Amino acid sequence: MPAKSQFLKGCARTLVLQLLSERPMYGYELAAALADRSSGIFALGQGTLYPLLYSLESKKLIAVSREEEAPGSGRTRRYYRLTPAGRAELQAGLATWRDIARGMQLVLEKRYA
Amino acid sequence: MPDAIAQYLDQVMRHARLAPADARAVRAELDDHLQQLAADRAADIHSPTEMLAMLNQEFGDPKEVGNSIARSKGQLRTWLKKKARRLVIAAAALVMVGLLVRATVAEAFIVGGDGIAPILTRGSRIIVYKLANSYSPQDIIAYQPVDQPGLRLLAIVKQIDPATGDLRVTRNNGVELTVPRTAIVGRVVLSTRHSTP
Repeated sequence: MPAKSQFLKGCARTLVLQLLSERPMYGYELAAALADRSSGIFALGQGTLYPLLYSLESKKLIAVSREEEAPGSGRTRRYYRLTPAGRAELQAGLATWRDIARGMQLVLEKRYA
Repeated sequence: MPDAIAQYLDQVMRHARLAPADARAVRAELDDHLQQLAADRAADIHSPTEMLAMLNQEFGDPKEVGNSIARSKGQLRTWLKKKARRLVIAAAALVMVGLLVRATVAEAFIVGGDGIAPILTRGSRIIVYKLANSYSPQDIIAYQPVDQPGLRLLAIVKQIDPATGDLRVTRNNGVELTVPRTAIVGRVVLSTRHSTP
């Protein structure tokens, strides 16, 4: 279902920014949160998350810091957090989403009422 | 099972075609993700084949993931990072060649005075050919005054002393002087005349 896939990809950007506005997360944690909080709708294709993160990072909407997986483990993880520009982008994304949702609702309610 | 993850990552990275430093960072991040995913699904996975199938289903087709990562990192940026070392060496070589040419073959100047106006006026751009070894009357030359070696002056050749190679030149419409062969910088071969409004 390419149309659904494209639609989900478009939504994923705003959802990722929303989750990172709550707290910094690393990739797997973010994928798990997306899947859990969307009841599995955003569970498939976790590999698409990283291109999205790298793209947001290059646009300076999110920033990366490295932290140890566990104290003394020596292995580090990349934690993503929202930047001020990312926060502004999130607000714009949420406003767009509210408009779309309201428009859809108005049209569909009239048709199927 | 770790072999299945490594095999999957090999395919992703082959399609991502990243610069070495980016490739190491991305692979480490994806490996961390896939190790956790495998640990979470360990109860349902019993063979490397099942593991690969699970990775394909949950993480995505490795070719598509790799290509998406390549696009997200910027293909021009990746190309520049891969070629950075060669580009720096090539730029340094070009600068060296440029300096060598400037010191021995030809050098560009902007005329700073009106020593041979109106033929060349202040602000004109000239190229001085430093390998010239013969001069003719009416040639424009650049030379270094004996008392001011840091300065370059222009003059028009009037006569050549065939025995010494010294030049009798003129500046400022009539002031004549002798320029020793050793003080000659070269002959002006190209000029763009600066016109003042």
